[in-house]
Amino acid sequence: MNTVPLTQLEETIRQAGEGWLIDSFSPPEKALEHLSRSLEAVNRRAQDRLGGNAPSLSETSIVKEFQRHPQGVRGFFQALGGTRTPDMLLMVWRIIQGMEIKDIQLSYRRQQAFKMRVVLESPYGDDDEEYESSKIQDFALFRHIGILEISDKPVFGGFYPLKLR
Amino acid sequence: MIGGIDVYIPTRAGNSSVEIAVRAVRQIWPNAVFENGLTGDRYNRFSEIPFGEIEELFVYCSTAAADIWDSEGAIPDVYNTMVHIIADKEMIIAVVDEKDAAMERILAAIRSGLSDDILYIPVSEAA
Repeated sequence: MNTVPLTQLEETIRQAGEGWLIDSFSPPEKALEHLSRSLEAVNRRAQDRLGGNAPSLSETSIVKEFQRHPQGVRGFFQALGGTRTPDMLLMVWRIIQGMEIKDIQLSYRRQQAFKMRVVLESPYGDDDEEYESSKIQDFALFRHIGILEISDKPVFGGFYPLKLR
Repeated sequence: MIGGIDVYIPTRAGNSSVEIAVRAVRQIWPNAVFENGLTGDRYNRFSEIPFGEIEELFVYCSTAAADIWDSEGAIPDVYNTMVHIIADKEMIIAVVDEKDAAMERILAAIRSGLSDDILYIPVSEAA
């Protein structure tokens, strides 16, 4: 159930500089309804998978989180515009929250199959979390992931907003 | 930290630069805790850090080290157990006690993360 008027979510999206999420939707007046439904689906998925450990992805929480971590929420908004897979959006949120990317497996065969599997690791001793998708569009989420090396060893870390203009 | 060494690390990461630096340090100090350099607020978990308002952050290698820093200050026992990260325009300043091998590894990790320009090239230019 939404406890925040849709206008507050819209205001946050526009304040984040991601108004395209609404304006480029067809028709634009249906965009917020669609985004709300997507958030509800992610929230349900989080509850199903993580139970009491689930983060809140309600509109209220996201609006509040934007005040604390605007860049993270901007990245999440961009993901929201790029994937329809609730599991992938939950994965993105968990990375933004600080989960480490422990393992990525990717398989692809042209015109046949795509599969990605990401395992996240908690720095605080919680169980690993596995996320899978067979939608090739979800590959684009990797564009947002930070890259670094620790003593020449590879690390994927963080989920950041792309500079869209 | 008094008398620390300032290490200047250029970056185009903009508003994400502190987060990137913190994530890099945390790769080496997985039990790190954090403190707002301006308010003194302690954050025991990464998810508690208000990146939107952070200009300076102390990253301690552990809760125990943070407690000693808070109660006794920069005593020899806690040298190089904290990195002071300061956001500046197109720059991160990492203040450390000493650039020994362990700290150089941390600084290299921060440099590596902050040099990941692919996130900061506008998509319209890359297309």
